[in-house]
This record gives sequence, C-alpha cells and structure tokens, in this order.
Amino acid sequence: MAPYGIDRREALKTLTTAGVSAATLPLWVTTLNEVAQAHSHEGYTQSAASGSVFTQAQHNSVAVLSELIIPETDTAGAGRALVVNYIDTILMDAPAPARNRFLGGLKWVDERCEDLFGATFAAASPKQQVAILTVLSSSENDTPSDRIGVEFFQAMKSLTVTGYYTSRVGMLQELDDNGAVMFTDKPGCDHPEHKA
Amino acid sequence: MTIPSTKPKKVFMSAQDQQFDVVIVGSGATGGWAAKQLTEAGLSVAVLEAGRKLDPEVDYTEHKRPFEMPFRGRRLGTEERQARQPVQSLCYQCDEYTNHLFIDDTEHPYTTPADRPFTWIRGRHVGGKSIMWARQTYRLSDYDMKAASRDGFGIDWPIDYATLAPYYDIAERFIGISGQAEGLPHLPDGQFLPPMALTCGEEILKKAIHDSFGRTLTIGRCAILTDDLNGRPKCHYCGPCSRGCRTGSYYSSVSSSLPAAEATGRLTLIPNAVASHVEVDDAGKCRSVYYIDRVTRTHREVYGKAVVLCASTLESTRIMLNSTSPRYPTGIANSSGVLGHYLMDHVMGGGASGILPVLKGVPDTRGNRPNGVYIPRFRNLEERHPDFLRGYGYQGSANVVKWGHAINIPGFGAEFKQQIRDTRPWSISIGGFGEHLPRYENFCELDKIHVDAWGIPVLHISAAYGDNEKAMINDMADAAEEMLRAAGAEDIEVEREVSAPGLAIHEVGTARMGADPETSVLNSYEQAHDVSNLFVMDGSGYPSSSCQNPTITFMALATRACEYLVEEFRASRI
Repeated sequence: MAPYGIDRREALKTLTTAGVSAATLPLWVTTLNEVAQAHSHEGYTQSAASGSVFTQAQHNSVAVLSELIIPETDTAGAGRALVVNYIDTILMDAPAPARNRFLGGLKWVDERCEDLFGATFAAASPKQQVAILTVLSSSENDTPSDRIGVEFFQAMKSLTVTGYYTSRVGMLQELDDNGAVMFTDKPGCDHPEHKA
Repeated sequence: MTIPSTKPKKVFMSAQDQQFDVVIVGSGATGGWAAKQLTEAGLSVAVLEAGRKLDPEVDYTEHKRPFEMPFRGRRLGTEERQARQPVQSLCYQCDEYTNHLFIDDTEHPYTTPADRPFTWIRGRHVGGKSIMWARQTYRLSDYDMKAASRDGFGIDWPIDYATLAPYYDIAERFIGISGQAEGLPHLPDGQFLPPMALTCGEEILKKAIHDSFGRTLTIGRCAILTDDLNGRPKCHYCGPCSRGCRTGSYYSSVSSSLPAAEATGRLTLIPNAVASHVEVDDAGKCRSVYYIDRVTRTHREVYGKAVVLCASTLESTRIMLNSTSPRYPTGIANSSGVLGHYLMDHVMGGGASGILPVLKGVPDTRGNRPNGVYIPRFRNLEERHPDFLRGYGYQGSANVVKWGHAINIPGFGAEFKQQIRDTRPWSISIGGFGEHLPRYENFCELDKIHVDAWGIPVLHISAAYGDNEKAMINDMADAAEEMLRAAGAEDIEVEREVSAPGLAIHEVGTARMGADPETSVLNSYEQAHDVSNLFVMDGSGYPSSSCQNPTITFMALATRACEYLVEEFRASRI
C-alpha cells in the first residue's frame, strides 16, 4: 500500500492521514482496516440486516460498543451513525480468519463480563461497560490473558472511527463538511510572516 | 510477425463507411482537440472512439458523498469488480465513484515480462482520460526539448520552445489554465487565469524553501477555470474533479473541444468503434481505419484522406504495429525499426510527509480546492548533479487532517471524541515526478499469442527504470526531507521506493519524433516520416519525457500539427 506523500495524485486529493503514523496494530486488525478501505457501507436499518454476520445479540453489543467509543455529545455519536451496520458489512467481506478473530473477541468480552459482572457486555451496567473498556483500551495492558480482548478493542475502535467519520452524521455534523466548501482565501491564517 | 486475426474476411458496409477528409482515432484530450482544430478549418472529420458515450447525469459522480455510496466510495466496491480491474484498481483515481470510467482489465489484457511489470491505466469512453486526468498543466522548455544537446543522452526534439510557445498559447486560451506566473526559464509561464490560493501550510513551505535553497513553490497550474471562459462557468469547488464535472469547469474534450467541433457541422463522432489497424493503398498511403464495433462485433472500415492517431501512447503504437502489409511488414511507419521503442513514464516514489506544529490550532482553510502545489525542477539546470541526468518536480499540498489521526489518540468516549477535534494536525506532503531517460530496451511489441475481447493482438510491454531513475529517487527523497525540515515539519516520513513504470500515467514515446528518419518515426509535425498522410498526435511522439505533466504539451504539438495538416490539404498535397 503506497503511503501518503509519494503519490502526487494522492497529494492532490484530500489527505486524511499524511504525517500521521499508524499505530502498531495486530495483523488481523490491520486486515480488517484494509477491508474497511476496500468496502464500507452505511446501512439504513436499526436492526441486523438479513444476511448479516451479526446475530441480533452481537448486533446489539457492537452498537453499544461503538457508541461508547464515539458517544453522542453536542453531535450525534456512532450509534446514531449506524456504525454497527458498517462494521457488519466489513466483516461480511473480510477474510474468514479476521472475521472469526473479531467475533471471537466479541465472545471473549461477553465471557469476561459474565465472570466479572454476571451479565453479558450488553446487559452490564454502563459503569461496568466503561470499566472493562478502560482495561482493554489501556496502552499499558500487556497481560497475556487479556490479549484477545485488547486486540478486539483495537479493531472495534479503528472500525468505529472510519465508519463514523464517513457516515452522514459524522460528515455533516461532526466534521461540518457539507461537501461544498469554496476555497478563496485563508481565513484561519494569521501568519503574515508566512506570506511570500 | 503474426498476421492479425482481425484482417477482413468480410466487411459490413454502412452509412458510416464513407470518405472523410480526416479520420481521428481517439476522442480524448488530443483527439477532441484535433477534431476542433481540423473541423474549424473546414475539413470533414470522423472521430472513432473505442468506448461509449458517457451520460453525465449517471456517469459523473462528483457530487456524491461517501455516505450516498453503497461502499462509501472507498476503493472499488465489490470483490467482483475488483476481480475485473486488478490493474486499473492500482490507479489512485479508480474507486467506487469512478470504476466505470476505467477499462475492464479482463477484456483489455496486455503482457509483460515477469520481472518488468508495467501498470497500464486506460479509459475507453468518449473523452478518454481527459475525464479522469489530474488536470496539471506545465509547459516544457528547451531544458527539456534540447536536453540531449546539453548532456549527450538520447536525441533532441525536432522543435524548440520558441516554435512551440504560440501553440501552447492557443491551446491554453481555449481550454483555460489557472496558475501563477513565476518567470522561470525552465518552466515557462502561460496564458493564466487567476491562480487558486495557497493554504497557510503551503505558504510556510514556499517561504522556507525560497529562503533556504532558492527554490520556488507555486500553486498548481491546472486546466480548471477560475473565471468563466468560452461559455463554461468557473469552478464551484466541489472538489473531486476526476469523477467528471457537470459544469464543464475543467478541460475535458467532452466539456469543450468536442462540442466546438460538433458546432461546425463537420464532425462525425463514432463511439464503440475499436480501431484495429490502418489500411493502406497501393502507394503505401493510409486509405482507411479498420475497426470493430464494440457492441455488434461487426467489422467496418472508415475512409480518410489522412489518418490522425490520438488513441493514447501505446494504443496508437499498437494500431501502427498491427497495420502490417507487404509494404510495411513490421508495421506502418516503421522503416526505422524504432516503432514501439523508447517507452517512458515519469518515475515516482521519492518524497516526504510530516506535520507542521507551528500551525497547531489554525483552522482548515483548504476547502475543496481541486489542486495542489508545484515545486519546479531545480536539478541539472545550470549545474551538473553528480549522480544523475535531468530533473524532477514535486507536487503536494498542506492541509488539516480531519480524523486520520484519531487512531493514535488513546482511550475512548466523549473525551476521545473531543481530542480528535482539538488535535487535528496540519499535514504536509510532497512527492516527486522525475524524467525517465529514453532507452531502446524499454519497448512494446505485439504479443504473438494473446488477443483482446475484439480479437485484436494485445501489446507485450517491457519497461523498467534504470540506475539514473533510481539515483534520482534517492535525491528526490533527500531533497523532500530537507525542504520539509526547513519548513519546520516534524514526524517526517521519507519515501524512496521506486514504483513500477506506468503508474504515473504519463506514458510517452514509442513513436518518437526526430529530425532523422533513420532513428525516429515522426517529424516535428507529428507526421510519419514514411507515410505522408499519417499523423500521431498523442504522447507517442515524445523523444524524451521531461518531468512535467505532459497533456498540455500533447495539445500544443497537436495544434501545430493540425495547422500543418490543414496547409497540406490546402496545397493539395494530401
């Protein structure tokens, strides 16, 4: 994959990642992200679409997870953006090993929640949900028994970010990008010394 | 030499089988332009186009948002589509919005040696690649056209800048070029509409490289209108030009030159006409172009007193190589034996990117400017670089990253979301395009075995970059890094990996112009040395590649060639 910067054609387009190094991610998470590059889809239904990868229970869990990662604040969150449907589509097109790692991670989270809270992730209290995600999202967490969950969170987070910022609410509300931005001057530039 | 399997058994005649003054093969940037020039001079012209006519309401997708597309516009979309476009999908512009503007690779194969890959990006529809091109337009100078005299490699162009300059003027005035005059002898100014603005980050880079190295940064010179011109409205900055433009605010043959040709009443546009070869008469002159109807697969012939090939570099040469006859056993206009040889592209793969901390918190001001910046060549102008011949220029941009940095921000939740807003970095990136030296061993020939979906022999393409290009890539990377450092960039990532030839989509050569018929195919009027009524007005005639985006030079050369062709008609020499 040619990174940013070496392709003038890329440079002529909107750069979203130039100068920003990708975090080090497990291979299977990277694989899912590559599928996300190739395929993404915003569904228009709240429930799991027919032919989807997710069961209704998995759908609900992923929806809750996505909203916890990018919640509704003064703009809509990942739940309203239907990021869960986007992730479902990505998984449907993903190679089976990566898809199974994701679903296995989801199962791991449920099992860990059962152990800790006596309830699945979706049934746990919001406080409990935040608590387990806090453990899994910590960059210092290198506990071997948490590895599956940590990797799952990385996949979940990166897919949520891509799905949210390419969704209708993500673009129109959060990015305030209505797709018709006239470029005439530099309203934000207060560096006269930078002018030639 | 293989006898083409498409030689006529039976030709089905139709109303289209009539005599024109000129038959043009190809309707893209130069085919449409040649049609305009020749019809306006009073000649009757048929334009053969291998593909269909596009419907802007359906085929142009510039106003679609990601969330309106089933796959959000990323890459190609379905796996099925991916399987049909393994080559085209390598193109930066071929994605879910645009894949219908690129060929189906399974119908249009070509072959390469395993160790010499070539990426051949093509569009077959009325307008050709002028629909999807990157619209960057830079004049050449005698530093380019007379490079052989300066450093001894290759051959000079059989024309100099002073001769070509008035023809650049004609083409630029009609199609509309926005840009900033800089007064550089190696990148001559043109007929410019007002320039687009630089972003703050680009202003910083401009000042830094001027102060530190005496180098120039200028806003991209591009075929996008910044003022209304010839009935076409100026750009409304929706952004993604390569998906088509319903307002016709950038130059495509569909937006400007073909309508002008049509208005003369002397243009016959024949879509879905896949040209196979040129037929010659007993005197060895072009008689007709033989083509296959893409839809019905019937074989047809269209007659012209002159033939102008504008099918694109490689495709025009393929037609010539496939035009074999007892008189021209190795292809028409090939007495020199160099037809197919000296294939070039622009070498890419050296560059750098980083972020500009000094602009932290400064809001995005880039908008949807469909253009970048250009750093013109600075190597081997007056001083000689120790490692390589010729030069390169950079293209790039600086703008705010909206969310690509999010994955590096730890945590989740409302604070995470707010941090994405608060820490948007200004990214800056530049990548070079370098001259590819003309070498005989970079060539194409007819493949002896394979044919395309219409039974026409495909090309075998064998090309590679050499030591000169590799040394250039290294310097490109080093110089990019030093310039970004001078601008105060941090987290700099340097790229120095040579991409396969073809991917710059600036392929030129294979039917080169030259003063000597023993070593070249065309004269400076893009007329075949061997066949006085055969012209090639696309990039095939380039004797050397320069490092500037080539389309405006194709058009300037075609302007001059058309003027000459019209004179030949007037003097009854054709």
